[in-house]
Amino acid sequence: MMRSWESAPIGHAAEISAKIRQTLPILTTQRLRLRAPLIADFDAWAAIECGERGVHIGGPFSREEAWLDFSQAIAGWVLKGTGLWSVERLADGELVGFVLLHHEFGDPEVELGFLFTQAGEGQGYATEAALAALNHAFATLNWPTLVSYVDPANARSIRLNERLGATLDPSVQVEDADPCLVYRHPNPRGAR
Amino acid sequence: MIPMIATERLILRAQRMSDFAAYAEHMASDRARYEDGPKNLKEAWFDFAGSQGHWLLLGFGCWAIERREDGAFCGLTGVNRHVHYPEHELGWSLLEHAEGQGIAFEAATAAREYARNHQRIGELVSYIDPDNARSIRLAERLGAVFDPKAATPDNDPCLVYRHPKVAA
Repeated sequence: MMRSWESAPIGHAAEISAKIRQTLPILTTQRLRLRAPLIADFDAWAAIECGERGVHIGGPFSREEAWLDFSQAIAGWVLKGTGLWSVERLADGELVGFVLLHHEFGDPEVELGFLFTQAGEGQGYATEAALAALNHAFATLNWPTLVSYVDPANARSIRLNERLGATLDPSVQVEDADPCLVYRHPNPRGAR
Repeated sequence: MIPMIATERLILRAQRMSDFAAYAEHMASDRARYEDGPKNLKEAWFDFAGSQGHWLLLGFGCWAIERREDGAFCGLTGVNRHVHYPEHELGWSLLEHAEGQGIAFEAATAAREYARNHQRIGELVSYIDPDNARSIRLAERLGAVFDPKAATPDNDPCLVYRHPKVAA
């Protein structure tokens, strides 16, 4: 349910918000658009992180925890130059999920992350969106490496990483309370 | 993008990664006991980045307080609207080296004026730990008044100080 404060900003605050959003790259694929997040997207984010789907990312989270996670992933754009995109379907503008390029706190390297809504699943959207973000990371941002951190119990995410061509890298240890696999995405320009 | 404000002695500007170490040190110290702390590095990151994420989504948020004289990072101030906050909050968090010089007052005054005049946030409160005498004095100096009827975040036993309204 949407709270009153989750309504879109007004007045000069709306201009500030729009100006910041305009600086974010928009990535378009055959069926999807990766665009700047809006406050209205938080409900879908919270539904993922506070529900049973949140189990694979250290949750399920409370709404407050989900908010802080959403907010910090978005702050990446201002603090580090990359962060969270909302993924919408070109055909009808429907929000289907989120993709992330982010060096999250405590992680050894920058990460490609993806969270999709239940309705957005099973149609190859996650693969299509993740591929666009992955290409952006290597080709536009010129990042040398990219990994995905995956809960060993998240079979769907493991399959997606394998489909993207990533391979398990057992040499990286992640300092976290929860077990975590590291899938390494091959740099198409070769190792640096 | 994120607006910058200059006051007599300070600049309010966008937070930077290079501010984080000093902020995290502050949040890990005993000084953070009135800010739900002390907090570990990860919790400090969620606070620091969480308040910065506000700007893209809501068009307001926190600024880093920088002393003009030497460029020193002094802390954060600005408007928060976390998911569990019943109202918009004017907050401040000051590093030890910057205390006792009226810096928090100068910064919070500028942030509040900006919220009122540019972001059209007419109603502001500050949530303050009842034992935080220094912060209560600052709220009173800012003209805020204790509001015993106001709701607190998650029914936290903090005090709610309501800032004076301004004509729209």
